[in-house]
Amino acid sequence: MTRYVRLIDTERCMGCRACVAACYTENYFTPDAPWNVVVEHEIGTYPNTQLAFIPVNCMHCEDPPCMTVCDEIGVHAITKNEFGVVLIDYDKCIGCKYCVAACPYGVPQYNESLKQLYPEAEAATTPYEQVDYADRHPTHQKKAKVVEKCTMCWHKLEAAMEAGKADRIGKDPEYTPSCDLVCPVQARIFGDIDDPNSEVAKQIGAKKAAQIKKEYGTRPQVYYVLEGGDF
Amino acid sequence: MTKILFFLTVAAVVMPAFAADSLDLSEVAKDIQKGKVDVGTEYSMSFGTGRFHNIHANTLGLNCESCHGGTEYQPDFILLRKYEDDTSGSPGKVDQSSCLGCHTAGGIATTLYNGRATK
Repeated sequence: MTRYVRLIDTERCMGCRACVAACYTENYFTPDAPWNVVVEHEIGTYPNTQLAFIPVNCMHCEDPPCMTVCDEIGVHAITKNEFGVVLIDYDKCIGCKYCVAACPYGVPQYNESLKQLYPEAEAATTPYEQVDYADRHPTHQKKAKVVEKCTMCWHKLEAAMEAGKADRIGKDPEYTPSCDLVCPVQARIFGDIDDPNSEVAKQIGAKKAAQIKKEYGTRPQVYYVLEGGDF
Repeated sequence: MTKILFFLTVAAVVMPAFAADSLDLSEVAKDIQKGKVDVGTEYSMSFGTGRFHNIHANTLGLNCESCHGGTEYQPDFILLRKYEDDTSGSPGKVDQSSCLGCHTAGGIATTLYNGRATK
């Protein structure tokens, strides 16, 4: 079995937000609906204080409350595939925001209107934005008034599967989520936790990484090494 | 007239809180699930027309502060939408921990959290 997970080491993260920028460009970021955010807060007691940076994206929970509530009302816009990736079908989403209300991590983003990355400069579209809408991956064919969120760069993982290179996921740039690729301090690692030889599996064990907000029983597929202890 | 208006305003604010205390929420929840209570058909957050607030505020009588606990999150609160401004008219941020009591396995409402225990 294959289960893709992410490790985020907040003891290494320096808050540069390269992962946020990478997600913006890779996933056709629309303002007001970010898929990846760095939450920061001060830890410690004066004078021994420091800033903690905690990148947050979709946890791709094994028991995702967003999917549960979506199924419960008969919409079925949210699915979790065999690799553990939770995806939203924009064509099925009715924009009710029930998933927004249910997610304890604040992940689902209601996209009020489609905007380009630099809205103040109409002609200044990024190369990604110049790709025709119809030619984009379904996860990038965004719509207004529906909910969207991090896909673990499913378009890349899917490409790896189709090329028969699933073993290169987390290793080759074209088959690895962009946020994990660009981290300059290796605070993010992505891979198959069910492969005991994978780097992510080794580091989760070695660093005693943990899921956050375990009281919800959602069993996230993103693990954190948390500076300042468990939250 | 002014006194009457004042009384009605205070009553409108205070009564839902008392209502939530006096109702048997589990019975009301069952009635909602069985469709015995009309909570509308619109799946949305809209106050007045959407089922979400019709169920939680109007039918169960939860006052605003039960969910919208405050204007800011705790400094160490980890949430992707932490820095978003409240939408117009919202009485404050929502911490999903307030949902846990009813929406966890064994609770009176649809199980959203800790559901594995019942699978």
